[in-house]
Amino acid sequence: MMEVHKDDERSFCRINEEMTIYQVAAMRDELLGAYRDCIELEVDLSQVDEIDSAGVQLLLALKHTAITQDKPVRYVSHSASVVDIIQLFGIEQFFSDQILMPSENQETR
Amino acid sequence: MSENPLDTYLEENRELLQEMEDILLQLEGGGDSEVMNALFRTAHTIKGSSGIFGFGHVVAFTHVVENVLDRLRDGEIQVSEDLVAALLASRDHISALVDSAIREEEALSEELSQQGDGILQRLARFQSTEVEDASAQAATPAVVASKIERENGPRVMTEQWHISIRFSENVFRLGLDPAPFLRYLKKLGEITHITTVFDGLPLLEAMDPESNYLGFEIALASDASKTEIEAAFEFAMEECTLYILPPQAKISEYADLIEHLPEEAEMLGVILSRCGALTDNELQMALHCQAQLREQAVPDDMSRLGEVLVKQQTVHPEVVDVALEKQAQVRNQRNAAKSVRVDAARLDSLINLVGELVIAGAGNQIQARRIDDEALLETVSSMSHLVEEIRDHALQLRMVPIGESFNRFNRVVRDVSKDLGKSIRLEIYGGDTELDKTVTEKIGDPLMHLVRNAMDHGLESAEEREAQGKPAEGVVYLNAFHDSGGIVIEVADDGAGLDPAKLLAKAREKGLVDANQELDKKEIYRLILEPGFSTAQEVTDLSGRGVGMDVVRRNIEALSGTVDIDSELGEGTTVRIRLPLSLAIIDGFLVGVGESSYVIPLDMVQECIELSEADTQESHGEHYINLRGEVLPFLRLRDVLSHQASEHDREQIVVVHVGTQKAGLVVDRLIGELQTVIKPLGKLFKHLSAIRGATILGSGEVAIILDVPTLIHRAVGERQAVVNQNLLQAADDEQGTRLH
Repeated sequence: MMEVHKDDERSFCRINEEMTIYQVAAMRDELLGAYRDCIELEVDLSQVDEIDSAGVQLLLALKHTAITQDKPVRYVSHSASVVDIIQLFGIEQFFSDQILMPSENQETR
Repeated sequence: MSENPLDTYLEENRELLQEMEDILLQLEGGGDSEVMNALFRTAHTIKGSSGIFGFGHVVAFTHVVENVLDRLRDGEIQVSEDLVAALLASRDHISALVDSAIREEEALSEELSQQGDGILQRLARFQSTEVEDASAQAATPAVVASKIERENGPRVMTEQWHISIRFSENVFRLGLDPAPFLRYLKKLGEITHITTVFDGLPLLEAMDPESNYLGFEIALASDASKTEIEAAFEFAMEECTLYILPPQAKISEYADLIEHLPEEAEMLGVILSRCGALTDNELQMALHCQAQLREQAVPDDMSRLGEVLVKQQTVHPEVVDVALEKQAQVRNQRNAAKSVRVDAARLDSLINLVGELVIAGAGNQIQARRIDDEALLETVSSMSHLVEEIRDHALQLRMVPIGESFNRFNRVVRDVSKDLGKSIRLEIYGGDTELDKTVTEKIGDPLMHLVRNAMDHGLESAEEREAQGKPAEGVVYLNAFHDSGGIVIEVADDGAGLDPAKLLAKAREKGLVDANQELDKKEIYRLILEPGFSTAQEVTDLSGRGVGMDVVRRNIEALSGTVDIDSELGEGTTVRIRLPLSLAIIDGFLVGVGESSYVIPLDMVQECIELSEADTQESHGEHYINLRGEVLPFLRLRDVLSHQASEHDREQIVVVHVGTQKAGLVVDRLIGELQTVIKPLGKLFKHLSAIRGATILGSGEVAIILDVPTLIHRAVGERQAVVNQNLLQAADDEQGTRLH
């Protein structure tokens, strides 16, 4: 469900499934493992084709933890579903490492 | 009580659609503004709750309906037959869309979307001109949604609502997701700013990913009312803390808000000013005000807070009044909900337990009698009295008014009268008569058949009626009332009535009645309940589809009920169904066969006679005896139930009847009457046709309850078979030489 690979400094991890209330419990443990085990983490969200509030909350918690502990964690390649919900929640700033806006009219919201 | 929100949604949706239909049917006779409002609310609520579950198709379609209803409410369009017809069709379509959504079909089926388009076209001319273009394409929900947004357009900042919402920790676990609520909010207006508050969010390792820590501060530009905004969160009401501040709310109200939210005041202040709700200056005032509040207000008394605010003159008394009134309303609503929704399964298990209690009580009584201690007998007797009362009350719980089943016929009558081109009115009486829920469910189909029959065959065409000096509009009556421990349901019409001479002729032609047999009127009417008897000259698509009156009768008899017909030529026909109030407990007659005990429902027992040697001999091995000159077919229960033949010098015949059919059941012993609780048998016994259920006797022994209608059927059938065989034999004998 989650691919992790490391080079010398950075860990890369790609979430390969939905992030909903059904997965978050197991996913937290995996994310926590990856996070603890790294100096710098990049999380690829391109395969997250479904995400609900619990999923977003988990991503927020990771980011929040990273900021608190001053460890670089970046979200990259956000899928459309991810973009949709973070815009809905108005939390782009926590994900703004590399957001690709799908179209300009969405920015007006 | 259903805990699954989707179940609640479905249940509520069903009720709303029913309400919508009821109102629409009423509407044809004209309605006042209150009715129009109620009608609008049904569509509005359906749209709202469907939005929460993300049922886009339902929302898109219902939106158009809501628009039409809104115009109707405002008097912009008038009630017309076409409109009501289109709205009724819409109601059915919504129901179909919900079903489709529940099946998690992403795309609508071809048929459904065509149907939807058709209805939208019919609705189009009732819509206001601005939305017409949207409605034409409403099959694609996105178009409608964006239309709404455009309609509400960008607003000046002061017009914003401020919404503060904190979801409870359990909200995810309850299957609720805040995101759809926000999406729905976007349909009410434009979210000009949103801040997700997650102050309570612990670090990754400490958090429970399935708990919710999120809350939202939302600025919404919308001309929706507070109630409408509140309604967006209706499904989460119990699982969230919601504050809605109107545009241009008082600073003190923001102060109040800051006071009540769990986060730090300063942080909230920043969020609020970021939302554009407060200017920096206003924020300072609010924070100051809030600090004062904190000093003065009695923290554990909410109502006092209001008083303090007024004293400070930061809030006008009206505002507090409104707030208090609101609270009172909420409280009233809670009080008004005097009925409690209970899961039918729980009720069943209660009834089951009460049944056990009755049985255990009977066992106690037997023991007490054996011990013969006076004090014990007395306590046992007073307890069994109480048990009886509990049983009666428990059974009462399952009672529901029959009105709901009746009301759905409004629609049927309306549709059928259109189809048949007859003008028909339905009159309902005694809708609040109560009967067992299981009976109500099972009575639906037979009633439907009877009502259709009355409309199709009973009532004449308008011309015929006028020719006979009757009003052109035919009437179908549904009536229910309690009568001697049972319920009577009448389906009547003021149509042509039954012609006894015609019926008799037909019956003789079909060989159902002998040429010289004399029947009284009632018996003749009952002939239409016989299988294969249909007087309809032409088969319409309503009746004559193979489901005859005999099926009605069989269904009713399966519920231990009876059917009775009254008719007056030229005046009308009344079909009277008599049913027991409950199916769970019956009065039974206990008999013994071999070592086992069997229960025959007492109301089906006519008499008991001894089966004499002479009778058996006379019957020549055929399964009938002569009962006072009448042919009585009989069955030996010992054979039917495969008991070992036991040597009994005297056998007894219990004469049972269902309707007019009679048969004898031969048993070894007659034991006596008793009240029994019917227990359904497991799946394993489902194919056993002669058995209806089981019961446990006071002694702990199991007794089987016999399915008398089936047994009678079999007895009569066997006799018929024997007769047929004899006839065949005779025919064979004649032709035998040629054939072999």
